[in-house]
Amino acid sequence: MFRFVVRRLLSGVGVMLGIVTLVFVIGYVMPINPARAIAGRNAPAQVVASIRRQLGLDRPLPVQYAHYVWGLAHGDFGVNYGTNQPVAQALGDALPYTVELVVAAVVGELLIGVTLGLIAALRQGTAIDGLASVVATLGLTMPSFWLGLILLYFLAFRLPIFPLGAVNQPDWFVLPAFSLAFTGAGYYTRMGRSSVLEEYARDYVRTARAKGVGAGRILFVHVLRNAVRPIVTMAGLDMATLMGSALVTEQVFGIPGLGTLAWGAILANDLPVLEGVVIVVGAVVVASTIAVDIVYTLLDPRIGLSAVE
Amino acid sequence: MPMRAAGSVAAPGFPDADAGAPSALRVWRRLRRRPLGALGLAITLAFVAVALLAPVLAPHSPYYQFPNGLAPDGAPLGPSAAFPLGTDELGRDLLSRLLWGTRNTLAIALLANLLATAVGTLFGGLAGYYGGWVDAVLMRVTEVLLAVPTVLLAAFLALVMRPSPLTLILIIGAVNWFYLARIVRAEVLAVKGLEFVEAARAMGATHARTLWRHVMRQVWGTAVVYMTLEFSTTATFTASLGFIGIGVQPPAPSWGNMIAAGSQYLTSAPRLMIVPGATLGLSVLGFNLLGDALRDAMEMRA
Repeated sequence: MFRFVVRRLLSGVGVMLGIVTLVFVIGYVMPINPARAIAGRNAPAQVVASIRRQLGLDRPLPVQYAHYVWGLAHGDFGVNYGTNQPVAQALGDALPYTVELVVAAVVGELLIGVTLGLIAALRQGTAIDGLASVVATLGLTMPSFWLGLILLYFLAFRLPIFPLGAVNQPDWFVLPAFSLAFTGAGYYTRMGRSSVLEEYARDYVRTARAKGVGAGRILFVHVLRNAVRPIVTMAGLDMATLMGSALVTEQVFGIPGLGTLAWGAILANDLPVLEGVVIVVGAVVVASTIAVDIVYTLLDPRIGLSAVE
Repeated sequence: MPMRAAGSVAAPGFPDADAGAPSALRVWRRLRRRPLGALGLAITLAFVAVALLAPVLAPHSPYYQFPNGLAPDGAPLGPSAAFPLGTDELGRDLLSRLLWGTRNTLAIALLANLLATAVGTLFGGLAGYYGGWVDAVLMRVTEVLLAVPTVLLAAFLALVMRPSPLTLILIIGAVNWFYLARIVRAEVLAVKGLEFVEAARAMGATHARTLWRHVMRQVWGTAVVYMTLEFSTTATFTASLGFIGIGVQPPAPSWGNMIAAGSQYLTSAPRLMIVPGATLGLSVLGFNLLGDALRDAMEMRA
């Protein structure tokens, strides 16, 4: 197990290094002069040159790259062009909102998806099955940011149950997380339904029944445990997409997370902020993928770790 | 594509060379038997018609700000005979903007989708067929790119390339091919070891010819199904970019920037946000139903 975890962590570090390199390369070819952006449009050439020196932009490319990676490793994401504040600070302030939202969304979409999929499978061919399919399709059809707007209109404005664009209340995340969970749950409903049906058709279920194991035990101990695995895998693969939707949905609810930070940075041409968001979001995705891989091996009784290593 | 006799069965143990691509006629026959697929096709065709005919169908200019288009207090007008869906926040005809917005959004999504499919199929095909370092580079690069949300990658590229319809197509295409490349690569890997590929090589076909004429023929079906299924995602993605302000730039209408503008009037005129969003949802439903039916008809598990 230990060696498996170490190997996954190392490959995660590799992917992170790839993201950092990508960000560096795009940033380098970017037609923005950072020194000019900090100094201001009308600053004299000497000032721009001195800022350029200060930022190390006059040094050779490999040195700049090493310097950049070294800085990132020490939590230095550069300075915000507009405010001259450290980008790390802004990222640190925004990260908890995004993480809380995404965690709530993942939990929500798995709960909705697995529950609906399970009910649909157990009531296969009935009206309930059909209804679950309609709900799943509805979720797949709507973009989460639009569902967010609709929920905001009906459940925050028309019926003032939830806060209208306020993150200082403890339930701020309910509507945005539900928008993400409901739109994300469609796949999991379909997957859950088909994998529960698939598991029920397997020999071990017949054996268990023949041995007189109760229906509840078969469902929760045998079928569900196996049926949930492909869903966990999918949730891991889907992490980047969910993060993307969350970043857009933040905009709807005025959540001061990484998305709001990024979209603001685009309008302001603030390269270091956008670079920082890409790296931090990438790190969250990579970390959760590794976590899913580890959970997966724990869930699957068939994957002997000696085989994995 | 050669027509196969109905009911022909490949000899057991020998993979059917045509297994990946049933004939267009067979696909069409199966597609016709699916009512949901037919509904999807109808919705899709309706959207295609709207996109093509927007200039004819739109009752007004999408840009003209009617002097009588706003209430005395500056609020947008509700539906009326002159403005079937009412007016927007600047006194423009909402229906005309919706029709033109449909055209703008779908044109960009379609071209970007074609670009992504072409690039993904090309890279996946090359990597799978040639293997070695080409393959290693593709797998490492896509692994990195798949870890970053596409919307963030697109935003990053939007800083480099100022938004215009062309750069938008390039950006959306550039961030959406990784997954298909990996699927195509896996399919090519599965196909290239089969006897008919070996036979083609043995008969003296060049690598380029073998790849193009023999290997890729097995993969087109996957690419087409993926493209159909992915089109709704691309349309939603295009709208998302519009929503966060890096898509089609106002005053040109798109679903995304109409929703964004409408969200500013959430409490006073929710119609401005509901109408383009519901249109987007309906189109996605149509594309998905068609894509699902096509996938089933082509016997794919993708």
